[in-house]
Amino acid sequence: MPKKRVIIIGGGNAALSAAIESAERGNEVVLVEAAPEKFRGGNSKYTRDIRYAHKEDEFTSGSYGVDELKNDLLSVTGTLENPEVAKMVLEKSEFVAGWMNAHGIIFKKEIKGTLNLSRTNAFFMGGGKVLVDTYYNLLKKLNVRVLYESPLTSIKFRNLHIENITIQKENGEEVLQADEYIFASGGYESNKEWLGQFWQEGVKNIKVRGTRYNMGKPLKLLMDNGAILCGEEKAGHMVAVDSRSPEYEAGIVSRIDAIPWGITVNIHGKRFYDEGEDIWPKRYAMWGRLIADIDEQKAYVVIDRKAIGKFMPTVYKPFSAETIDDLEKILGLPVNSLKGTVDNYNKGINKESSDLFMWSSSGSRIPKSHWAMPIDEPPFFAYPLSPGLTFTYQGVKINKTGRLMMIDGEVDNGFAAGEIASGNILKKGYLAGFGLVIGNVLGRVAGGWEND
Amino acid sequence: MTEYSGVNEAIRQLSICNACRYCEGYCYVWDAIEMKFIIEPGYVEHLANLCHDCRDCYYACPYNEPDHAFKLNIPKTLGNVRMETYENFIRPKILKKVLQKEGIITLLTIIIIFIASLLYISSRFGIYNFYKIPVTSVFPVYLFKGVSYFIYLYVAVLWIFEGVAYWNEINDGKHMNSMGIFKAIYDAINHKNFWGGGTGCKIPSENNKYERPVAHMMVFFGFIIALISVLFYPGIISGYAGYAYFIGSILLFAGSIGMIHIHMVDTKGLRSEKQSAIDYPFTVLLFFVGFTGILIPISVKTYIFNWNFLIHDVFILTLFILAPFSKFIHPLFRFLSLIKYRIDTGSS
Repeated sequence: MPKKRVIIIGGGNAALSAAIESAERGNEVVLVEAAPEKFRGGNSKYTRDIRYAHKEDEFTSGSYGVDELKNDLLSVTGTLENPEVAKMVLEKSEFVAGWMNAHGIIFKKEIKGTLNLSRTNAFFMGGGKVLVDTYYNLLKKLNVRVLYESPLTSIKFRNLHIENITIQKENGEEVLQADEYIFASGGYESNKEWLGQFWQEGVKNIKVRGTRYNMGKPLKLLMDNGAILCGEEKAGHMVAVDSRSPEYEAGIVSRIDAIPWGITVNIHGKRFYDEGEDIWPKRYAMWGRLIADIDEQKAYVVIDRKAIGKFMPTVYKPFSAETIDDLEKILGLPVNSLKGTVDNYNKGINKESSDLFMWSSSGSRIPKSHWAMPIDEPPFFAYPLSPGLTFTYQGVKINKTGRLMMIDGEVDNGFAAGEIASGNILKKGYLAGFGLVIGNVLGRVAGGWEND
Repeated sequence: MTEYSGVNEAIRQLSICNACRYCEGYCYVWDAIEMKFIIEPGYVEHLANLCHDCRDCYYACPYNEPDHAFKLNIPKTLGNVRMETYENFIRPKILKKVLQKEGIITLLTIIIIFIASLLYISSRFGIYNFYKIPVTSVFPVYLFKGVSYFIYLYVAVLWIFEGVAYWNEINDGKHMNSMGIFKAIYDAINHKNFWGGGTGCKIPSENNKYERPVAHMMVFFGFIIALISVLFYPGIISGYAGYAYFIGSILLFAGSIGMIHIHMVDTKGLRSEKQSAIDYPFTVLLFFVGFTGILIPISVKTYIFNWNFLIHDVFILTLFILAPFSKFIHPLFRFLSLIKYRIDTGSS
């Protein structure tokens, strides 16, 4: 006899980690995924690495303590929204790589060139699609039932207890009942209507980098039933992506990380933020939000020949011209706007140091504090930029047992994990590779790991 | 620089890969792609010939056709480019038509050589008496070795012409060196790019890991063992060289059965159809070479011995005559790309 019946709502890393953990503890598990089978896996399909506390291990180039991880987290988010949950995730992150490895995930031996994350992050072979496929294959062995194309339509609460849930099936609705319910259904990043409530018109320029199935319905239902929210509605993981990329599912390839090597201008041809302000990885996750806050949510990063090869190759070729004037025309910027901006920037460059990192420019109201290479060698290039939303942070508050916190108290048989609970840990900015760790730890805690 | 349609499509797809790089670690293709900011036609051919078609990248890819807007299918696309590479570097150029109709031409070559040998036999010994004649009388050592060395020389010369043309296309101005060659030989022998960086080869399906690498290794080593032992003719009929030839034939036979099985049950739509068209006739021919090779020691002193030996030689002759214009050229291009990769990655 199974110990408990558990229903998991969602189909990405957090849901799968919860399902595996719970099934391995002898529970009867049903996983309810909104997407069709071939689109399963949520945003986890687009991931590739984990950032976790560790001693020296075979997956990374050195040790990375819980305190250092905590400091890195604080350096991007400022404060911890829910300290007890954040502390638990930080501490339990130590077990993530070993657990993944034991469940069929193969980590890469060494990472070349791609990113300077070899000490803090472990990269797995093949990336996120292999991760979710491996876990789904494991679910078969663990006799977990998976229902695809089954979006949640309602949750029935009685006081602080969930009685049942209803899902939409091809031929009508179906009520499912279990002892415990784990909500691991992602954020609301795919729901343009929802995003439009606070991004207004600008929402149409936002590219959703991952799945189109994270509509936030389970989150909405929990909110309607009195769940306490965590995090700000506009907050999320947002990077600068190429404006020409598809509206959904471009994953990692649409991101443009040329920004530190040039200048970035708005549709008026003016710079609007210090492109050399901060060192990686903070800057990477900062520019999406910066662009989301300017006119038409559109910007252009302008570089010259010298910058080519200093950043990751791009899917789309940059616009190019032999003169800044021509580039300005191609981009449709106001006459002499870009010319003036580039001239001022070039004039103000201070090259005193031999270290390129220390080059700065004070040629305009907005300084460029590092990597201020002059833009003076043709051909000149420009990439059009849009905000690329990876996932939203606002979600439900949980406690350290993973249980949902309602206005009236803790839900005894309801849990949340992954993006839907990421607001407990992430307030702003992003720490590369931490999303999967949040999903894994919270998923497994919801699946019964807390009992150890 | 030559440009072809398949190459342009491959450039489109590989530019997306180069912005992603999640497949790093599966094989040399993914290390090689990272050396370039922009992928150009000659480099695409090099990448295509580094690809050993294990499909690990396909199963890892979130951007595959038909569901994703990017419509990627890297193994199939690189397979098409490989086929174009073969067609473009076959010398003399006109004989690329052999590759395009490999199945029927292989069959015709077998028939023609067989009929020619029947005519020779009937004029020298008579068809009915043929089985009684000692094999060294039918195939005297000088004739056997003469024909063998001539055919090796013929293949070597044409492969050199083809190889030089290919190398000029891909070399990026670099010179070949012995370090590169030795390391490429090492990679070829241990089938470095067949194992998906330790995750296995997903041919014929996602659940497979070792079927294809093992089958290919059997064919590869079986062929090499047989090739070396045949130098000791007539010793291949008895003695140590005979045992070696027998073992080589068994490996070739079993390996080619594995490869044929893989082709038969292969996941539809994932393989370049042009590649399949040249893989099949070649593999089937290897199967018959292996099968008749096994029969040689088994049929000693029986009336089928001479006939089997003759037919075995007909298959082998066909294999070598078509070597510069058939699937048999794939090791040449692969080997040169392995050398380039090893030179590019330097002394480490």
